[in-house]
Amino acid sequence: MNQNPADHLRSFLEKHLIKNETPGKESYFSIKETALVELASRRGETMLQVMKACLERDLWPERFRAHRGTLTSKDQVQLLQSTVAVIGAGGLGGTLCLLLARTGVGRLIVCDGDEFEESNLNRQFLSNLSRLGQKKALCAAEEIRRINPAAQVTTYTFKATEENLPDILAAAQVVVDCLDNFPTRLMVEKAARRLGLPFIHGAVGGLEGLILTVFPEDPGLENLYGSEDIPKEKAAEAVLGVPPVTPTLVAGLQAAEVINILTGRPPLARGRLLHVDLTIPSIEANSLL
Amino acid sequence: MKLSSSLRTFVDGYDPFTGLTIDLGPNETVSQVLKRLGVPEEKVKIIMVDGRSASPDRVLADGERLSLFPPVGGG
Repeated sequence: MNQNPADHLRSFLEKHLIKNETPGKESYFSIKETALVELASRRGETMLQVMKACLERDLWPERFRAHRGTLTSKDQVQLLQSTVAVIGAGGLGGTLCLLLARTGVGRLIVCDGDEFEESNLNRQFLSNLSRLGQKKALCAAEEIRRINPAAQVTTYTFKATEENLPDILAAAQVVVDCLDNFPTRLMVEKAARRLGLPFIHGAVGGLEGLILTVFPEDPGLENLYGSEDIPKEKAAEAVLGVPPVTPTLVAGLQAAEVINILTGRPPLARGRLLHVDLTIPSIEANSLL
Repeated sequence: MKLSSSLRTFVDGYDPFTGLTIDLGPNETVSQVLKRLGVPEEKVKIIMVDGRSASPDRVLADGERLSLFPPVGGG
């Protein structure tokens, strides 16, 4: 019997498909990683390609099955085909990398010139005792590949500068600011603006954090902080430190914003500064316009 | 009136749950309120009135909500 080409994949994987049934809901099929690996090898394709091929037939890789209901298979394909630049791989950026890798963003660019040190252990999820002295960006890549070997990671183990940013950001669709100093944040925002890319700012101090999404035509960080340099010792975190709960929460919101932008949902923080305050707790939106 | 993070250290007994309620003088500006409360203006980086960005010379009106932020830059 001739098979419809569209059903070819389904028939090929028949023995690997897992039927998921919830009473009162439509059943659907998912596929384990091992079957996807086998399929990629048989078809001579990458894991990203076979994941996409499956999702296009509404067959969910097991690793993304729990997204179903919140993300559509089309959204998931969109994320697999997306490239996100994470600038800074410390408290915000490290957690963000983990979240985006688990969410299934297909390509990540990670830039950080620093190595892990002991004082990072409280909040930087990529750090541990055996990684002290190692480059943060390389540790991020290692961890991302451990979570999802299908993800492609490009690392830059030096600081972002005006000169190198156009190259670092060239392939990105979204730029996420996970830095810890004002001059570089402004520089990255400017570079993103020049390339026409949305920029997601996140900053933390004590039990509070700020998030702002800036599209190229929007008012940005200079409207908040001015263009003068703010020395690190004058910022809130110099007084209040950074306990781990705050960057974790702010990185979660930045990840949510990345997903919103990549899947065409309305952004959370465009033109409005979100203030996260864990002492109350509250998340308030303040308009920049 | 809401003070964020390190600005709270300038006002004794500041309670983040309730914020501060202050009586305004005639035509009182954000700068004047800061001075009166002992919050150094140079420590304030972002001023919001009723959730909208404002400048230090903004004259405040009864019932408005003033939010003040220091620079926050940790990552």
